[in-house]
Amino acid sequence: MFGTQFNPSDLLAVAPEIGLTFWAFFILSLDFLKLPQLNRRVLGMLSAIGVLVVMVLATVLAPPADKGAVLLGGMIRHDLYAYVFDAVFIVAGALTCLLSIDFKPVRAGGEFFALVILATMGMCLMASANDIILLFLATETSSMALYLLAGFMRDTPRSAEAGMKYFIFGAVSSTIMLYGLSLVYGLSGQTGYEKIAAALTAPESPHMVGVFALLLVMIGFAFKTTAVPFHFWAPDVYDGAPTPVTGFISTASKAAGFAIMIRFLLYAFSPLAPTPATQVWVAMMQPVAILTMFLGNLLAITQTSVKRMLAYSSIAQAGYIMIGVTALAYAASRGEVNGAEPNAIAGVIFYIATYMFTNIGAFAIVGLVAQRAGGDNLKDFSGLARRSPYLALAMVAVLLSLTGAPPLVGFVGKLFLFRSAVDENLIGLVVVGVINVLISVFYYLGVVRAMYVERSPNESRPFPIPAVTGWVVLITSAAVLIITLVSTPFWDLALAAAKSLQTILN
Amino acid sequence: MTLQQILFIVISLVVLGSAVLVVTTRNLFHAALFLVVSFFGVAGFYVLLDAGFFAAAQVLVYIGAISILFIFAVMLTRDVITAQRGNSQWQAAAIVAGVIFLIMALLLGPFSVTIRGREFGNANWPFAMDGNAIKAAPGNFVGILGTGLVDLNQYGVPFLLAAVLLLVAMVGAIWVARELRGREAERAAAETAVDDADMDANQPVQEPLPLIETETHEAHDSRNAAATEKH
Repeated sequence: MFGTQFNPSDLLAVAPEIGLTFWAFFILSLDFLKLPQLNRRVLGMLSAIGVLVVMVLATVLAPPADKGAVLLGGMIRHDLYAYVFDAVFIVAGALTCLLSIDFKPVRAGGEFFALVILATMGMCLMASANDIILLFLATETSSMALYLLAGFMRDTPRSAEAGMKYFIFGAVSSTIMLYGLSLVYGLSGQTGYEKIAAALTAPESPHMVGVFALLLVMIGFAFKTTAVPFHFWAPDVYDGAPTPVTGFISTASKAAGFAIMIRFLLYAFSPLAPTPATQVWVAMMQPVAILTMFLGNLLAITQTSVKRMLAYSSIAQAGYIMIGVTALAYAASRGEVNGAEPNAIAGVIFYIATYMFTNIGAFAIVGLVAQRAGGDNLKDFSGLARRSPYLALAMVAVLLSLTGAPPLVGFVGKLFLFRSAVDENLIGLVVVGVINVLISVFYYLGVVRAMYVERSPNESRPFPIPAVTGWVVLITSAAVLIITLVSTPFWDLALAAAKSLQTILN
Repeated sequence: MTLQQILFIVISLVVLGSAVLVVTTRNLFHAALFLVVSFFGVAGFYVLLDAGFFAAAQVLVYIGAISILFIFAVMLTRDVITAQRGNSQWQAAAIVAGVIFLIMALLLGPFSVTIRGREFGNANWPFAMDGNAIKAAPGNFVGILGTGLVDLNQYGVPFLLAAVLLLVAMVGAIWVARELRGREAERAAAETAVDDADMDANQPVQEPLPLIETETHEAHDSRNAAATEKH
C-alpha cells in the first residue's frame, strides 16, 4: 500500500524527540498515581534526569552521520547541526526543570514539567526540520507550550498578562509566517527545502512574489529571535513569566529561532543560486543586527528592575548573534567555499550555546533574590555581596560574561562572532558591536555596584540558598569559566556542526 | 462569462461580505452566525474546484463542529454578548491593512503596473492557479490523502506531531480553565506560598544598621568575615 519501503531504523533520526515525548507522557501520567511522595522535587529531578538520559541515549544509538541524511519522507535532516542544537535545548530544559523545583511562586506539578519537556521536543524538531510543514508544526508545538509556561502563574496578574500577550502576538506572527510559507508552496509546489530552492531559482518563477513570501516568513523568525522590529513582546513577557521560564524562553526558544532561520534561509533561499529574494535577506541582516543591538542596550540602561533589564539585554544579545548571521549571509552570497561560512555558523552556534548557560544562570540568581528580598529591583540586590558572597560572585561572573569581559566565555563567543564579521570586511558592523558592548558595561556593572558598594539594612540576615538552585547556579557560573579555558573542543564541535550544514551547499 | 465564473463571483461576495460582518457586528451571536455563512461560501469554492472531499470536510468540521462550539460559548457567556470595541488606533490599522492589501493584490493578482520601464505584478504562477492540475490528480484522491498522512515516508511525522500539539493545547486549556476548590485549593496555596520566614520583609526588624561606613562593630564583623574568607 505504501509508496516506498519504510525502514524502521530511520526512526532513529528522531530518537531524541521520541524519547522526550515518551518522558513527557510518563511525567504527566505520574499525576494519576496521586502519591504524596511524588512532590515537585521528585518530579523536577525525574524530568531533568530523564531528558539528559534521552540525550545520552540518542548520542549512543543514533549519532548523526558525517554528511547528514534526509530521512522520513524528507521531513527530517539528521545532521550534527541539529544534534548540537538538540543538546543545547535539552540542557536548557533540564536546567529549567531543576530551577523550577525551588521556585515557589509556580505551582509546578506534572503539567509544568511535561510542558517544559514538550517545548524542548518541539525545539529539537525545529532544529532538524527540512520541510515547511514540519517547520511550522514544530514551531507551533514549542510555542504553544511556552505560551502556557509564561502564563503558568495564572492567578498572578503579571504572569497571566505575559502569557496572554505572548499568545496573541505569537499567534499573529505564526499566522503571518504561515501565510508566507503557503506562498512559498504556491510558488514552488514543494514543501522540502531543496526542492523549494530548485523551483524558486527557475527563471520563470515570479520573483517579486518570492520576495514578499520571504519577508512574511522572516517576520515569524524575527519574532522567535526577538529581532527588531518584532522584539516588542519580549520585555513584558520576560518580565511577567515565572523566572525559570524566562530563562528558558530567552535562551532555548531564541536558539531554536536562529536554528530554523539559518537552515531555512540557507537551504530554501540558497544564496548560491541568487534570486531577488536571496539578495533581500542577505541585505536585511546587517540593519536588523544594528537596530537590535542598539535598541536592546539603550533601553536596558533605563530599567530599574533587574529582570526587565535582562529582558532588554537579551534582545541586545540577539543583535550580537545577528552579527554572525550577517557574516554568514555575506559569506554565503559570495558563493565561494573558503572556510568563512562555516566559521560564521560555528560562531553563532558557539555563542548561542554559551549564552544559554550564562543567561539561565543570571535568571536563576534573579529568581533567588526576588524570592528572598521580595522584588527584582536594583535596590533588592544591594548588599548581596555581604549577605551571600558566593552568589554575588556567581552573578558577577555571568554578568561580565554577558558583557563580554576577557576571562569569561562571553568574550570568546563575541570574539568568534566579530572575527567572522571582520573576515567579511564588515568593519562598520564590528565597530557598532564594540560600541554596544561598551554601552552594556554600564548597566551590567550597575548590578555589580548595587551588590558590592551599596548597603542594605538586611545585610546581616542569612541568605539561605536552596540546594538544587545552588547547584544550577554553580554549574552555570562554572561553565562560564570552564568553557573559556577549554574552548577548543567546543569550538571544534560547533565547526563540525557548521560544516555538516554546509555539505549541501557544495 | 461562464456559469462557473458567475458562481465564483457570487460566492466570493457572500464570503467576503459575511466575513466583514463578522468583525463589524457588535452582537457576538450574530458574528458567529455570519461566520457560518462565510464557511459555507468557502465550501462552495471547494465544490467549484471539484474538491468534493474538502467541501464535505469543510461543512462537517468547520460548520458542524467549530461554529457550533462558538455559538455554545457565546450563549454560555451571556454578559459579554455585545462586545465593546475601543481600539483607538483603528484608522492607522486600516491604512496599513489597505496598503498591504494593495501590494498583495498587485503581487499575486493578474494585474501589472509599469514603473520606469519595469513591469511589476502580473504574477506568472507556475501551476497553482491552474485548475487543471487539480483535475489531473489521480481519482483515488481521498485514499492518497489518507495514506500520505500515515506513511512515515510521506507526512507521517508532521501528522504525529500535530497530535502532540493538540495534547499540549489540551493540557494547557485544562490548566487555564480548571478552578481549584476545597482541599485542592488549600494545597495549591500552601505549595506556592513563598516561605514567609525567608522573606526579608516579613522578618522582625533588628537594630537598623548604619548606612554610612563607620567604625562600628558591624563593619568590624564584615572585615573579619572577609579575613576568614581569605584563609
